[in-house]
Amino acid sequence: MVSTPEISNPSESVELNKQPSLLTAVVQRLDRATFVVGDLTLFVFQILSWISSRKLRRGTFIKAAYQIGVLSLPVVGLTGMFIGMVLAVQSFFQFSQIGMESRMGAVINLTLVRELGPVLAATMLAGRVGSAMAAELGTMRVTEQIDALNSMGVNPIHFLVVPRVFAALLLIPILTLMADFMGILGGFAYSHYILHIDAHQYFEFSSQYVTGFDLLTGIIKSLFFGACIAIVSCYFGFHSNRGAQGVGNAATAAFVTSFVMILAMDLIVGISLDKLYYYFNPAGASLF
Amino acid sequence: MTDVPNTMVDTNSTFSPNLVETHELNMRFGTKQVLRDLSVKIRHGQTVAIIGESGCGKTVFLKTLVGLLQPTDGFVLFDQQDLAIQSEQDLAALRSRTGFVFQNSALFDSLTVGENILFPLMHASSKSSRTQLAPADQWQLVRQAVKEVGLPKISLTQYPADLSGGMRKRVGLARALILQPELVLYDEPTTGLDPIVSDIINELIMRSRLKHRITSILVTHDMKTARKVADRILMLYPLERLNEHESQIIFDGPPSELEHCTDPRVQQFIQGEAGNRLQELDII
Repeated sequence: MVSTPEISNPSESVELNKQPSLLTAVVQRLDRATFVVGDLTLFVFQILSWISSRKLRRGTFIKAAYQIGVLSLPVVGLTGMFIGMVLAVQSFFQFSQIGMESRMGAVINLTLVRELGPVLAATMLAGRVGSAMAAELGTMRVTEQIDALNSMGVNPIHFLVVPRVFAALLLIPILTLMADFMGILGGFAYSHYILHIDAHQYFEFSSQYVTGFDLLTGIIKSLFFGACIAIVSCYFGFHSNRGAQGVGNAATAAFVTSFVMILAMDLIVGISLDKLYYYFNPAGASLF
Repeated sequence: MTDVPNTMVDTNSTFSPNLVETHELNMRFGTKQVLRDLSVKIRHGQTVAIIGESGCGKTVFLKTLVGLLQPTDGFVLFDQQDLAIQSEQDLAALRSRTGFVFQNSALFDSLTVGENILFPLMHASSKSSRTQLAPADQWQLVRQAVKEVGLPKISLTQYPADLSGGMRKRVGLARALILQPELVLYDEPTTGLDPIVSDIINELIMRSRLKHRITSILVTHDMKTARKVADRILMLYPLERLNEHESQIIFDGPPSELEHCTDPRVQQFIQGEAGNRLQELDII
């Protein structure tokens, strides 16, 4: 692994008082974006080659799994619970207008397991863990710890990145299930105890509309989100520029890019899974 | 010593007196050229100090010697093996025959002092006799290494953040020496340290060289370190101050010749005089 040259951002050497024209600025941005996409793709290939060729570094994996999984559980659970409650608050008025408030459970739970559970768990993970990963690796780059690994014949992608990607892939479905569970609990608690909706009807309608495939859709989406968060965060950390600002920028870029990619992937994977579902089951009935 | 061979080096030859050779090494970052046509041969057991102004490419040169940076042009031979054509695993194995002491020590801040020193034994790619030892014996080596760098009372469970700059440097040195490397590279080993601690580091470098017959290359601004530790000094000059056909190495010889060098650029550096640079900066 050859480290990135220190002057990786040519724009830094441009004189401060010399403003580029709008066209030049747009071209420079496009050029930079194209470079990042290409470089990120190479980074993914390097990760894949190390995943297939060597055993996982257990020590780094356990640390990453603890950071990603154990420490994220409370915040993901809490977020899920509030979102379930908010959904109950927001849907009650609409449903009560048409006398269908007993069916609220179906909408709340379907929304949670298909969309909000996976997206919120991933967003929390990107904010809590992704930024931290980028900052940690960025600091390691700036303080030459990544060079030190290389100088000892230890590949930093294998040592630092692969365990984090594995940990994110393994634990994000569990976090998603936690967000789903707490959301369902929060939505039910608010609907039943505050809005006085019958518990039996609440869950009866839920079970009619929410299928195993919906749950599976959320879990499959979460796998894409987990891989995206870990890879993007490690990439920006790995290519951090020098100084405190460089590390800060890497952490911000990691979160913003992960978040945009989570939303884009939510759309793409959601459409793809629906197409797949209707391809195998044109009548649209439950597969599970 | 800066002569450029007119034929390619035979990489199959059995023995070469040189452990490290660079041939027509060039390094460019974007549009900025940092190294130009550097051809240097470093013999087994030699201690070479690379001196020069900030920004002249000393650290870049040091990092290219172990493949941490890939030259834009030219090549580096380590023990007659071209670094550029090595597979990832072979390069890792070659690197574990070297030790690198970084400017700011580059200790892993999530690991304790003991774990930092143990790290190369646990993770190095090469299967030397030391990496094959039982964990208890490896820890014994760690304790011995700590003693060798003059930190017998340090707690191995301390974290790098709890150590002073000088102690961190010494832990970095212990980590670099634990695998008994053939080559040790020092990036500004005494920068930021007080004169006494600097001298301790100098002594440790000299002792490790005598004890283990290590080849050493150090980058430094500290003329006292260069004179005391090195048996050969190379001085690099910034390319922006050179004409197109001038060599970037403006001095190559033993420390004793440094005083007699007639090149005003060398004298200006070793005397530490700003001279006409102040006018260039428009300060005066």
